[in-house]
Amino acid sequence: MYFTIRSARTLAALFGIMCAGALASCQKQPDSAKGLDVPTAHLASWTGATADLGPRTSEGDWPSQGRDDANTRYSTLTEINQSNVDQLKIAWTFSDGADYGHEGAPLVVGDTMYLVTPYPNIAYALDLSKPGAPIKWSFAPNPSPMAIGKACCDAVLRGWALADGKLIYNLLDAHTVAVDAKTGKEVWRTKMDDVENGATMTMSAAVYGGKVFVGNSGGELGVHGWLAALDVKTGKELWRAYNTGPDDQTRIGADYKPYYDWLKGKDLGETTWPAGMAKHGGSASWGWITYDPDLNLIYYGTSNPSPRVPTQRPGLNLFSAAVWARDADTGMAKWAYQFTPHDQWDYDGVNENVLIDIPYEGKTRKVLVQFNRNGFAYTIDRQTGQVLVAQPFGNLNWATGFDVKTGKPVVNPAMQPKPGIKLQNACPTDIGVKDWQPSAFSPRTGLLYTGMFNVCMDVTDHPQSYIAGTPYDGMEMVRHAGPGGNWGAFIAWDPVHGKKAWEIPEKFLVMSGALATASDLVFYGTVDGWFRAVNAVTGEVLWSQKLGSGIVSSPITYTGPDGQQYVAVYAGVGGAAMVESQQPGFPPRGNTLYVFSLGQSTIHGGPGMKTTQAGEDAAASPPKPKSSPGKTRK
Amino acid sequence: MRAMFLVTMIASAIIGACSQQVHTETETEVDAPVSLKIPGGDVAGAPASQAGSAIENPVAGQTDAIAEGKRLFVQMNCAGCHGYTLGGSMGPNLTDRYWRYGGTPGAIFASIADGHPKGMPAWSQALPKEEIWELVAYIQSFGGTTPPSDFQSGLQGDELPTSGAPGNGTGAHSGAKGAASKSAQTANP
Repeated sequence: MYFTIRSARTLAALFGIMCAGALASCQKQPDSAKGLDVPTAHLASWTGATADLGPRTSEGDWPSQGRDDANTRYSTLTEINQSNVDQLKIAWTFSDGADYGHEGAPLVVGDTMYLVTPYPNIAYALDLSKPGAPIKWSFAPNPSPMAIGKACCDAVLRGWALADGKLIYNLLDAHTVAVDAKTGKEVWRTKMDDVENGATMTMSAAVYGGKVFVGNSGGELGVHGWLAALDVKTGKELWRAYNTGPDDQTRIGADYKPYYDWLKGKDLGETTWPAGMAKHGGSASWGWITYDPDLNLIYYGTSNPSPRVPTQRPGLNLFSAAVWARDADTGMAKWAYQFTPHDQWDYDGVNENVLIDIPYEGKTRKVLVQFNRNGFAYTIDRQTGQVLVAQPFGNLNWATGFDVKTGKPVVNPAMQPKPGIKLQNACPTDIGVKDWQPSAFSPRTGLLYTGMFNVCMDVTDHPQSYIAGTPYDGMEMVRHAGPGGNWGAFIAWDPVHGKKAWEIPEKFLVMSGALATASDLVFYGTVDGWFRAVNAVTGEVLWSQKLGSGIVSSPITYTGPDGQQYVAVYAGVGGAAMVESQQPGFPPRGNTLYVFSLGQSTIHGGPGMKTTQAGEDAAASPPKPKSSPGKTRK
Repeated sequence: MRAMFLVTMIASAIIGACSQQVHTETETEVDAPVSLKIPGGDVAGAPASQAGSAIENPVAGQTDAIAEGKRLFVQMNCAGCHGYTLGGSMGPNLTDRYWRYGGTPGAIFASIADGHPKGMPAWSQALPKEEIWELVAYIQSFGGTTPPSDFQSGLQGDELPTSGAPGNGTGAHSGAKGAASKSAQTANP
């Protein structure tokens, strides 16, 4: 089923029909819905899906990129709701001066907001308790400028982590650094890979159970992809699992029990490649990591195989374009699943795996949901690796279907690129139907919300040689909008039935993350700089604000020290969104964080307000002589 | 050993004499203006060498050289960074008139041979001079380069007389994802 938003009322009626018919669980009203200003007809979850929203410290904080271990990006704050969201005003802004794409989300714990810029990766702590949120401290790590030219897709950073009193993040030159959250002083820095050979680090570090998890980028430069765990106290490497190579490198042992037979066997990370090619096989881990504390498993994806010319690497090319479940303590693999076997189109499998529990064939199943680049949205049993649902969530033509028995896509032979021959209109293009921009899940609606793309390509493959530190790539592409002419869209997705609930077409790419709140609001931004609030149930746009640059970061919400609810988002276009940069109206780069609150004044500004930091006068008066004429006049 | 010692002795004597002379001059001409020609530096600290900037490409405009340069451009993975139509992606656009490190044939030769701090590898060990000139000829065929005679005005950012075909590459049309387009490159040199 595929709806395009034209009339919210029509849609609501359609949902009513869906609810009454197929979805028995629709009638169940979740407890959290009580007492909120939500239209009565929409009180129920569409799917019955729930999530473990822990750990929960303070509801007003935004302590990690995904908000919780499951990475729902769901906030229980309700001061901003459907009836007042149109009164949102800019409370304050912060420009950090960095030029590259701003892809991370601010973190807020207590009175402090933490930001890190893209290259040169400068960290800022802002004091939210003072007017204008002044800088508490800043930290400049000075990463090597060489990294700029080794990053495939702009010198970006997708997030940072707070744990153990430290701000922890990756540097573009393939180091991980930890900074004292109170003082801004460096605590440790660990070299993780060799930037000269094309390895960079652009993902957000993630911290679960006292371990820092990080991975490399460089699927376009023939790196050897890996994910590693570091000691949060010292930065010492505890384990490292490669994504290609023999079993001792991929950390496959007796516990490895994949669901499908084609993923079973010895040294598959080596034997599914031509001899010697696995070690330059890309398959980097540059996306998100989620964690199930009950199973003690982490989940993360792997990138495209290198080189991107498929005829050079016959075989499945395991474990590229795949997802791993690993023991968080040992790094040993529990299961793996490859989304795009022998990837021919650059369909990385690194997108976020949101952990939710769904009613499925009469039972509750612990699942992960991934909107894959290849255009299928997967609902996978996160204990076994079995694919329960795989349905297209956008336009694709590389596959004609999905074989539920084998867990493999059915490849369209007409859409397989051949060296030196221009293949017209393969969909989606290299950046996929969706890239790394993270989705949100609302336990109130049981739906996931995500920005997505509608882009196809004319592709010509050029066979490549491996030359360390240069692209091991080979795809020449001309990208264009798919059917309908809109480059982007924002959708609501039913992960139980594999159906789109609603869709908002956007002229430009939607490469921002999503934020869902308990007021049934969903926030997202567009690459041309529109920040929107949407009714989570109907997809009706309730509020929009044009910002100074395109939005490729993730919005968050928090409660300030003044007790008010704020919404914050970076505007600073860049990254993979630059594939659209030749379109008329594409915005210039930027580097400004926008923070919104409801119409009334805050400590950061308002009518008649003159005081600023520490109660001093905003318009600083010169020191007054003891007997000034001004004084006598008074 | 003995010979080397002798040489060192002589050198010391000359240096000694020189220092003395300089010292004397300083004493007599205290406020003499110092006139030095220091080469400009780029943002990452490497000197912007002017050496060879006036050199013509020996194979410029030769059909065979351009074809060979095109082959090398793909084979050496140059296209992965600069785009298959040279419009730029991970690396800068090579078809427009904006050159970070100089757009004369000699300056482009030096960029290829010696590399640059923001990720451009140095190819002088891997490629013979003749092949680097062929790459330069291929880049020149896109029309965005600077004639050696206009080296100085190119450095100053002055408008250059148009010659040859205008650049036809665009960042969106080729290469790796996240292409730095012409406009993005200008905003982010």
